[in-house]
Amino acid sequence: MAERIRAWGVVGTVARGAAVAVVVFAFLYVLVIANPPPEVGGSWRTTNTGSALDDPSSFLETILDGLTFAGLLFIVASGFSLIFGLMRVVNMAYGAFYLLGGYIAYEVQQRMTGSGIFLSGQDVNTWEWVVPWLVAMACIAVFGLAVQQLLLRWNQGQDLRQALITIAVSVIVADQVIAHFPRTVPLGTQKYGGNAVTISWPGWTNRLVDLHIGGVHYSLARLVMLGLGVSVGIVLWLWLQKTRTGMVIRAGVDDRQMTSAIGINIQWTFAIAFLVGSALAAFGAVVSGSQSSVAQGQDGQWLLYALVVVIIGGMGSLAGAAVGAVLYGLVFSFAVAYLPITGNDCCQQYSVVLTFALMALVLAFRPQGLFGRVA
Amino acid sequence: MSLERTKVATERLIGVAALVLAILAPAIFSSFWLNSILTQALILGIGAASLIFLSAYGGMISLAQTGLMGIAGYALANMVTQRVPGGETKGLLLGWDPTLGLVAAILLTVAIGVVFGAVASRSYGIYFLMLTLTYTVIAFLFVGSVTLIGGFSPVAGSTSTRRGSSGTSSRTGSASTTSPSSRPCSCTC
Repeated sequence: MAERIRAWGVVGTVARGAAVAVVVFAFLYVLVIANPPPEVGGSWRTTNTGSALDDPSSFLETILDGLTFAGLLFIVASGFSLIFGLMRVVNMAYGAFYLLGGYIAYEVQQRMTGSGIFLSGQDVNTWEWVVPWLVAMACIAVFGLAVQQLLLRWNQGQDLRQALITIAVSVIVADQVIAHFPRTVPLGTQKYGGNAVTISWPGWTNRLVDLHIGGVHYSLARLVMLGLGVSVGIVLWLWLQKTRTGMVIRAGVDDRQMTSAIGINIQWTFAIAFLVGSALAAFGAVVSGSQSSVAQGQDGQWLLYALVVVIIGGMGSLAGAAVGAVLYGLVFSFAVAYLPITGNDCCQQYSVVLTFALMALVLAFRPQGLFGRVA
Repeated sequence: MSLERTKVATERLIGVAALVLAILAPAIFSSFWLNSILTQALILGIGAASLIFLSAYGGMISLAQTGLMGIAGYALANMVTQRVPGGETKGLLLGWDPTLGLVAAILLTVAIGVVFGAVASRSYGIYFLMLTLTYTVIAFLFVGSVTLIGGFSPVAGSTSTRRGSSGTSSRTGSASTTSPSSRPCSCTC
């Protein structure tokens, strides 16, 4: 590895120096350089809230936004990473699983609460969120398992072919979702066509919590999102570290052939991992659909999020997925809050470029991702 | 050996036949076949050729190609469309000469491709595939969210293309065929 990095030579040194400079500048910008908007106009120093010194509570809220979004990112990315880590399958259909799961949860919730009305949020009790969540996870788990058994199993070891198969699945599923969802809509709105729909959080999450730090009142629903992300992380960690199935999975990640040679049914383990990984896609979709919405086109978007998180964190590593999710979540929320607002068309809409910048930055120093092992 | 020679001969024959067909096509086929099928086939063929070039000579299977196609298309559309008095306009509408625009769009796309390639160059195999897919999705989301250069709907305006047969004067098609091709994962639709 060291030789390859050295071979990168002068260009690499310059590029990495520039990368460090950019990061330092970004930190300085957020901490001191930025200014709150004046009465008229604006410059490259103008942001919505000004720097962290000008407005500490907004700064704190932005950090919380980033961390809570990271919780959601982790739920989605951990499933993707689990499947990749064990089976070397890059499941490009993951975004489509996500989309389908979100719409299924929406339909179930609409049926439970009485269809055709806009839910006000307060009216939804915990069960009316939990049941759609479970149903969506179960459906997508079974669907994912079917894809794995029918399409991927007999192409094992041919990772490019498997990636292309899952791309095909993703296109088919995403288009079918657009054709058949949403089925239950309020009167006067269009059925089908993949319109944006919202799953409702349970009513009790719909309030602000006083955090007693810097006078910040923060949305309970977003804190619940973070809590769910952390819980998923803990449960997955316990599962992989403490149970027999988890040990077998870890053994399979390390050395697949040896694991099956000592008499473990690795196919069974693969199936379980794919089941859990797919269910996590639906889990993420329900949480994200509750926080914002489920809509067509999000399959590509969430596949991007999952890909970026695992590329940053390192493929197949749970800790990597967590760190990648936190980094990406923070970059995402700070981009929205702290990109300058100089004119009518600048600059917050360029935030997606920062995704690329973050990825390029990490890959410039660690081509295998932060927690990845050299293949 | 003779089998090899037969194969080469057959390939040459197919090549020549395709060339002849391409030259004669405007005389033979209806405009539907020309515009909707053969032209599309050639466009997609160029995209596929870039993929084949990369995978055959570089061993890199890249999903960034459709994204780069989209970038080039958007760049061209923004460079050559002009403001129409009274009409709905969208995009940068630089109104350059189309030939200049073609060259500039290709140069711009190559520059972006070099940056993409520099970041991806140290990964390989399935990692390369994932990384290049993120490029395509980023390009897709970028043109979608930056309304300055068009957003999801096509760049609207008119071009000063001196296109003879196919051209109505306001040909916005250059951009509207672009937006779906930059859609991630669906290279052909």
